[in-house]
Order: sequence, then C-alpha cells, then structure tokens
Amino acid sequence: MAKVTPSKIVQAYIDYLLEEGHQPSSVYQFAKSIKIKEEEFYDHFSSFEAIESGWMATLFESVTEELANDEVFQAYSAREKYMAFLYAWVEKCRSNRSFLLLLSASSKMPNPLPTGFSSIKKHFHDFADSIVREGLDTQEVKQRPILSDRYADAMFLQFAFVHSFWLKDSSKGFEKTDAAIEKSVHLAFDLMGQSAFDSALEFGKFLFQQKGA
Amino acid sequence: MKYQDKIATSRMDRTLKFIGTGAKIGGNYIKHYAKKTVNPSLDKEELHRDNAEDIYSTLSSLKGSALKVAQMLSMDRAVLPKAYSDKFTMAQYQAPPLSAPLVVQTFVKSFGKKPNDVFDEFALNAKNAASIGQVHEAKLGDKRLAVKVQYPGVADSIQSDLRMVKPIALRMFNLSEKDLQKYILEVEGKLLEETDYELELKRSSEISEACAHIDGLVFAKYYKELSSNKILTMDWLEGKHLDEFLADAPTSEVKNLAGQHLWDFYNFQMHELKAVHADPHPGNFLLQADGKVGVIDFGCVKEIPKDFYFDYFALILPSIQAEPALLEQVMERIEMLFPSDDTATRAVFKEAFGKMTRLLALPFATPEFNFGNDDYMKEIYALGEEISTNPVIRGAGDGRGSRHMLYINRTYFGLYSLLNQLDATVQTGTGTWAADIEAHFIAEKV
Repeated sequence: MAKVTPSKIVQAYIDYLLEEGHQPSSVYQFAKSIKIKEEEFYDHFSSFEAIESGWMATLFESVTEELANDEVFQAYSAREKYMAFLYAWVEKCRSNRSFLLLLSASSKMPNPLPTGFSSIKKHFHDFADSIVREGLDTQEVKQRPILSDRYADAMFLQFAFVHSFWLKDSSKGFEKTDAAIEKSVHLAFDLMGQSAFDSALEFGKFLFQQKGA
Repeated sequence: MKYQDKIATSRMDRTLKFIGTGAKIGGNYIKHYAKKTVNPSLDKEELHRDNAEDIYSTLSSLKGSALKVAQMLSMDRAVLPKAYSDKFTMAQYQAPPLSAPLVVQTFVKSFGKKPNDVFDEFALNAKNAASIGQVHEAKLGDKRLAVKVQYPGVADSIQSDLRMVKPIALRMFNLSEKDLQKYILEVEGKLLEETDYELELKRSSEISEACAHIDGLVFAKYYKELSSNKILTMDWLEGKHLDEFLADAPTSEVKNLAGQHLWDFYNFQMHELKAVHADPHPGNFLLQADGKVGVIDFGCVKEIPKDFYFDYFALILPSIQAEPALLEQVMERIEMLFPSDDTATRAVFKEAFGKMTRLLALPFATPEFNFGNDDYMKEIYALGEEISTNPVIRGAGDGRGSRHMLYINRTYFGLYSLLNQLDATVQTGTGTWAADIEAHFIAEKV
C-alpha cells in the first residue's frame, strides 16, 4: 500500500469538505472513506482543525516563498512589499476560494479573525516585522515609543480585514479587493510614517513643557 | 517616486471632496466682493482664476471619470472663461501613478503571468498617466512597446462620479436637471466605452486601417495577444507632446505640416468615416520632428448618426444659411431651437447660434486658414462668454443643442485649439462633402 503522506490527507480532506459541504462526522469515518487507518491519520494530524491550520500555514509559506524568489519584489519599498504580499495572498486564495468560503461558513464560534488565521499569526508577525524593520531603515516607517512594537499587530488586523473583505467581495475579478488593498496599505503606511499625528504630539509636548517652566 | 496617497473611490469620499469645492467657491465669491468694495476696479478674471484653481485641485485629486470631466470642460473652452480653461488643461497629463504591486497584480489576473514573464523588459514606473490608466514602457524582442494598464474599478466609479459632478455642472451652466441629464447620459456612455480596452483595440485597428492612406499620420500597431480588458499593448510611438515639441522651436513649415496632417485626419473621419477620435487634447498626439503626427488613445470615438451629420454640417454652408425657413427647420432638428419658444426667445437663440456657427465655420469659408491668429480664438472665447452670460439664454435653463453636438463640438474646439497652439496655417475649405450635403437637402425637398 502506498505510504500515507500529510499532503494526501489534506487533499482528501479538502475534497471531502468541498463535495459534502461539511466536516466528516469523525476521524474514523473520514479515515475509512479515504481507505487509511485511523492511526495513520493521527500520525500526522491531531484533529480536522489541525489540518485546516496546517493548510493555511502552507499557503502562507508558499506565498512568502514565492515573493522571496521574486527579483522585482526585492526592489520594492516596504510599502510596496506589503502591498505585493497582500495581492499575492488573495491571488493564491483565489484558486481555493470555495474551500475558504466553506471554512468561514463552518466556523462554529464567532471569531473576529477569519478561520485559520490564528495559526498563521506567528508566521505573519515574522514577515511583518521584517517589513517594518526595513521601513525603519528607509524611514518609511517612524520609530515611536511603545507604538512601533505594535505595528506588526496592527498589520495583522489589516491583513485579516483584507482577507474578510475578499471573502465577501462580489465585484468582477475582485476589483474592489484590489482597491481595498491599495487604499488600506497607503493609509497604514501613512499612519506609520511621519504624519500630522507626530507634529500634533510634538506640539502638545511643547505646550506642556511651557506650562511646567 | 511619488504616489497618490489615496484615491477617493467611495461615494462618501468623493461627495465630501465636492462639498469642499462648493464651499470654497462660495468663499471665493465672498473674497471677491470684499476686495471689490476696497478696490472697485477688480475684474472678474481673478475670481474666475480662484474658482478654477479650487475646482481643479478637487478634480485632480480624483481619478478616472472626474479627471475626464475636467478634460471635457477644458476642451469646451468656448463656454468657459479663459481662466478656467487654462487651469483645466493642466489636468491633461498629470495623475499620480498606481503602485507597482498593483500593476503586477493586474498582469497576473489577465495573463496568469508577471509583466517580466510576458515581456523581455518592463518598466514598473509609469511613463505617462492616461485618464483612466497609466502607460508603461516595455520591450519584447526588438520591439519597443507601450502598455496601458487600467486602474481597477474605474467603470464602477464612473456613475458615482458623474452624480457628484452634476450639482457643480448644474450651477456652472445653469441647466435644468432634465436637460443636464441628456448630456450626462451621453458622457456616461462614452466614458464607459473608454474603460473597455477590447473595444478600443477594435476601434483603433479599424480607424488606423481606414486612415492609413492619409499622408503624415503614424498609427501604433496594437497587439491583441498581449492585451486584455485591463491591459492594452501597442507599439511605442516616437514623438513629443505638443509643449515639448514647441520647446524645440520647429520651423513654421514643420508646424504647418503637422497642422495639415491633423486637419486632414479629422476631415476624413468626420466626412468619410463618420466616426471620429473625439479626444483631441494634446496628450493624445505625438509630434515628430519632420511634422508627422502619431495618434494614440482611441478610447473615445464618437460615431456620428447620419441625420445629425447632415443637419450639423448644413448649418455652416452658405447655401443653407441663405434660406431662413430651411435654416430654422435644421436648427429645430438639432435642438438649438424648440417649437415651444416664444418669438423673442427664438430670435435671441437664432441670433446667438447663428453667430457662433458662422464664427466656428470661418475656417471652412476660405481655402486656407491661419489658426495661429490669436484674435480668432479670442473672438470665440468672447462670443462664448457673451452667450453664456446672456440673461435670456442663461435664464432659459434648458439644454440647447443635440447631445451628439457635445462630442463633435468638443472635437472641433480641441482641434482648433491644437492648431492655434501649433500656430499653423492649414489648407481648409469645404471639399467635396459640401456638395454632398447640398445634394442631400435638395433630394429631401423633392
């Protein structure tokens, strides 16, 4: 018998979900339906949720890997890099849209984050941090006390927003998602860069000091 | 590289922008009258200039159709005071670029490939901004190509844009809602067509083929297999935009030659093809050192309905002008006069449109015409201003002129103003088409 690989199980699971429209009722039933032993399933995954998380993580890695191998990407500014990432992400998701829609529909608990996103949070953080660091070097992003450590968190929320927006987008060729990415990234980087906010803060500080003097 | 920080797309966004403009224009008037109490000799030029700047800065921060409307207004100089049009012509070249990742994304969506995989070389920085897209330079083999990439969601935003422009237009031209609607529909239709790159590809091939025999014109070849509904690939044409061309101080022979080519091009389209490249602003022509003219951007093509064609051009023929009854009939057919007009109103409109047509038809009345004569252009502006401020005409509040006139007039204003800037003397005259039109009217009478 052919060796059971994790990717085979993942593919079988996706097929099952797409065809049946719901999760298998048990690992036993699922294993039987794809003609493997239950323990072979547990060799690789602890639960169906683990498959989903694993799948998301793989998707994320494949996107970042693709970008890392792209010469054009290397030449981008931090702002453009982040944009390129989001475009590549929704592009990648496009071929799996049905599955992703099913995932979000089958999510049992109300969750502000799209399903499976918690599993890629750490990966995203590393990626976002590298962009922020680069932005700091090129002064696209401004170093601010306390706040600059949270930039990656904010970017993660924005990433989640774009993903949810795309899930709900019904425009032709997902044009609206493109516009949403373009706008929200500009906004994010305008906020992270030197902005009116800093000048206001500076001015406030100045006034406060005058009072003390 | 400078980016536009944000593109206002949502209706709310744009509304706020336009409300801002309205308020500012109001402010300019207050400023004007406040200054005027101190200095009574202050003329309206300055007020117009202030207003134009505020409208311009609002429109230019919008993309797509609003920018296009600015262009339309800038073309229709005859109904705009000079200060407006000067500022508006600036809207013609400049629009901040879209981000490089979005350009890449558009390619991936259209071809499943990145630009670098489609072309041997592709410059991610845009060379020029077109009104609804931007132009990139690319190389494939030994060919230098121009690749036009469309902004996402343009078609969607056009309707919302026009709704926003409406209140401003209502005030600027003092038209009733219903009459403005007839023009807005025409503009909307044309703008939506412009977003269809597949249609543009088809039309540009048709027109360039039909005009291939005209001397001194250069057309780009379009590449269907490298184009999609969002991307248009064509040959890179050599040549310079008008202002750069003029900066090189070309001889008057070269300028006359370029002017002649333009004139011949439009004459042929109007009278033979009855479909016309209706966007003659300087950004759409590339002038070469030997006077050849490269024609780009066939996004806006106006097809001239046959009935309208005969009526419109009949107005400028002396033989028709000599017959008052027929002339009135024609003017009614193209909605310059309404059957419901009272005698006084009718007389005013007849007089005004008669004057305008005779003035605009002046180049046709002689075998040769010097467009470089600024007095002629000034006369057109002055008459435009006179007409637009005439209390009877302004008070009528109805849209005079068939909707088809909008783009045809715009084409002629654009052409005249191009030729004026070129300072060109052109062999004009009426050609054989005048006889055809006369024959048509004789046949109609029988």
